[in-house]
Amino acid sequence: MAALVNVPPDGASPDESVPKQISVSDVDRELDRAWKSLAAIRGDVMALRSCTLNVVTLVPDARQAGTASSAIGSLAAVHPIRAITVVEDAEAPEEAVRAWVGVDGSKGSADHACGAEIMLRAHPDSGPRALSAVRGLLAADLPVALWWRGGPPLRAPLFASMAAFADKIIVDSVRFGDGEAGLDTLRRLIEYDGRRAAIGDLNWERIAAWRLSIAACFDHADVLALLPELDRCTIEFATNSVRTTPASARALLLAGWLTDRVPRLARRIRLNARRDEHPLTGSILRVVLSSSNSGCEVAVSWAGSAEDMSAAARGPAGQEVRSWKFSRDTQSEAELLHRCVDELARDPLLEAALT
Amino acid sequence: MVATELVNPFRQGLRVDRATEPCQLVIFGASGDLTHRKLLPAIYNLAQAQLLPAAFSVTGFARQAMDDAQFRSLLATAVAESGEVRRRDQQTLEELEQRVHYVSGDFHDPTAYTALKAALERSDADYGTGGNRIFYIATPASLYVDIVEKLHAAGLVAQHGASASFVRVVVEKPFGRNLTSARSLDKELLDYLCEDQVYRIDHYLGKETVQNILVFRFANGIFEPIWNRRYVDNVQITVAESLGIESRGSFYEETGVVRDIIQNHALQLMSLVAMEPPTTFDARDFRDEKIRVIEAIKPLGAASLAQSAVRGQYGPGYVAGESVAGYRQEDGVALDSITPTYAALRFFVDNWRWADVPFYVRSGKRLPKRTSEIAIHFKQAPHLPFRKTQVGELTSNVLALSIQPNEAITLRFGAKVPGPSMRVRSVAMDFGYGAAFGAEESSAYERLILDCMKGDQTLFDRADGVEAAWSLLDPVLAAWDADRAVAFPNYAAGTWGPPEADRLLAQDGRQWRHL
Ligand SMILES: NC(=O)c1ccc[n+]([C@@H]2O[C@H](COP(=O)([O-])OP(=O)(O)OC[C@H]3O[C@@H](n4cnc5c(N)ncnc54)[C@H](OP(=O)(O)O)[C@@H]3O)[C@@H](O)[C@H]2O)c1
Repeated sequence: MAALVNVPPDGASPDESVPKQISVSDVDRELDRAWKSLAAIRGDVMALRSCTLNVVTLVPDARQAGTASSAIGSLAAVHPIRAITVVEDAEAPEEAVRAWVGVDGSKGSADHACGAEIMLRAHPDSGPRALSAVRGLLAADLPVALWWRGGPPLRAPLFASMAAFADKIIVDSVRFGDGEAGLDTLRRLIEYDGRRAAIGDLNWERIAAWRLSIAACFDHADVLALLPELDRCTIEFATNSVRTTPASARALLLAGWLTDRVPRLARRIRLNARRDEHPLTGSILRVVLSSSNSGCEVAVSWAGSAEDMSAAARGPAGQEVRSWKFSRDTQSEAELLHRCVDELARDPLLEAALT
Repeated sequence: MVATELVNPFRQGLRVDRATEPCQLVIFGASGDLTHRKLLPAIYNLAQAQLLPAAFSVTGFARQAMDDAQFRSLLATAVAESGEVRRRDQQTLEELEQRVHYVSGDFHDPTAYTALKAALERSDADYGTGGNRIFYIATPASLYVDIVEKLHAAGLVAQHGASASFVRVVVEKPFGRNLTSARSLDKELLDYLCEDQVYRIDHYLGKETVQNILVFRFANGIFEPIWNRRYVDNVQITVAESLGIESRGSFYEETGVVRDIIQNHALQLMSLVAMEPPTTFDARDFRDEKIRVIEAIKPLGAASLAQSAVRGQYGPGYVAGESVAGYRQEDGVALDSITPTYAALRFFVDNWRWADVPFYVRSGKRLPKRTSEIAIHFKQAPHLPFRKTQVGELTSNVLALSIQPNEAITLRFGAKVPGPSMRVRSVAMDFGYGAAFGAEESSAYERLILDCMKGDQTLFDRADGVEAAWSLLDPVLAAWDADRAVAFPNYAAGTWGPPEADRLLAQDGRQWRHL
């Protein structure tokens, strides 16, 4: 099996790297050589590198290999991981899995994490071959997070074979199609394989700031006191479509979470699409919990363009009880991925929000 | 509608678990160094991480005349200057500033407390803090009792249980100067407070790496079986500082290294290494076990002092390439001062686990570098089967837990030197926390303030713990104070202490680890 190893020749800087062909079984040796030459360049002694997790990324579309790799690079800068990226490529020969190895010390400092990435390019039909390569490259005895960076994975043979050894499966349910259809796939994934693996969803992490902000509003006793009054909810989400829009998966997930937390809201949550200049269709713009009997209301809004969210709570006569501003974290793919690997256990809130 | 019976259903299960009980944090000594360098940045970091209670306010109290706006700008400067602030965010700062107030007054003046009380009641009404108060006393220790007494007289401290709201008092080390003063301080504080209202801070316990000693020992099955006299030859604890006494000459003259470091930080480290596994990590079990270790240390009587304790004071020398003054030349220091700036002590813990295993503890100022570590020296392999091996090169295994400046675990073991002959050399395997967990750790003060808000005393000292430490060290302090005929200075700044410290180990056939 041929492999291309992207390591700098001794003494050269990583930018001057020259791909070199080796076999997959030599990947570890070459990685070691790459670390040593990087250590020589930076003047550190690297007697030991720590590793806490294997992250196997499956990229079913070869054109997206670069963006997947850059998210992995950011993750590796803070988590010492063994990153193995498998890119499905119909152009690749079926009989060979080719590998590139890169060590990136630019993001970490001498005493901080820096990452190595092994990239395998495999023909979609080279399942067992790719699987064997990945198995051989996993860091022993450490958990495996499998990041599937494609559409619905359940029929993908490569996914099925690798999911078997994953402790956590990470997906972005938005790629399964927005709306109910996407969430359906997510539900099936949670039930998949007798629930061996925990599931992480980047789209669920996208609404983490909403969950946090809503929770923060009700940390105040005077706002919490309004809660028994609040019996309905409206969630507005962005759309750029002129025609009727299916409900955004994010809005559905948030509605699921709200219902799980306050069961009386079941069937009392309205999802409204709002045409918005904001480019991120499906994003949540406003959540209003209100009362059918009084002016009580707790509303959290995001202006869309600015980073910050604002919230206000009103009492029975409509008078303002409190108002807040919340900062909103970045929503880059790397950041969302990071949150998914931070916790490897099952996420009961996500599972409850889907039921 | 009874709001207090409701639980926020949205908070449950979220990863960010904030301190939910409303409270006011009142800082005595708000214009001081500790507040500026540690407390205000820690409070800001907690706000940034959304860990503060929703109903929260800070009131600074000190002598210096300041209004709210000036104290707020002090907060902004502290945040801007602190190396411990992880993410600077204007919005968080502005929101926090709105909850920050200042009252000026002399701590000895009862009318100042009337003004403070009015300000705290206003804050209760404005922020919904419900009368819950944490009084953080960041002042010279001589003021602690007077402050608590005056707080009591002003009706600001009710003993726990006497009111629906809570009052907690945080006091900084040094906690007393010796056993007698610590006992009388405890007694006086406990006239007005219950023990579970007193939070004695030793910030070492708030450090992630210090807490990791516990995880390392009690969450890993492989170390505990060898953590005893059968396998451990000796334990060395070092708390070394390269700095001198800065501008705190008069403070240090009164304190010295034993009161400043050994009585608290160093003995805390020792108790974490030597303690038995507690049944649970709740405040009572954990502190019981910690205190048991200190109580089990063989007293250093007058007879054994010469073999067990060494003191030192630095003279002029060079640190990091700079020429530095000797201790007696520092501002505020007497020319014939006998205050020790270095101490090395040998302790034995009289129990089954540790009988006859020496614990060597050293700490000093103006040593070659700033480093704190615990090194467990294991016994040599009982038999060396490698004939013609350069046995001299073989050293015992050492497990070093570094606390600062680099948080790491290092294991030293023998490995074969590649080549045709059987040569063995010691290698160090380093595990740096930074390399395993990229996440930035929180500062010790953040953790401790948060724990105090949650009412968790686990990482705070208990009166009997403080007293046990003084009981152990009082004879040393008394003997050293009485014997003024000591030839100080006895080590040059930038060296690892006086030669007697080496002899302390040499008499047992051992030597200090080279750091
Ligand atoms: N600084 C540290 O790094 C550090 C570390 C560990 C423990 N500690 C302990 O923390 C405590 C505070 O240390 P620090 O370094 O912050 O001391 P500091 O800089 O001297 O500050 C003392 C504070 O107390 C106030 N104060 C003193 N006497 C007063 C009075 N009669 N009435 C009103 N206010 C009075 C001062 O206010 P004015 O300036 O307005 O007079 C000032 O705000 C000490 O017990 C120290 O041992 C400090």
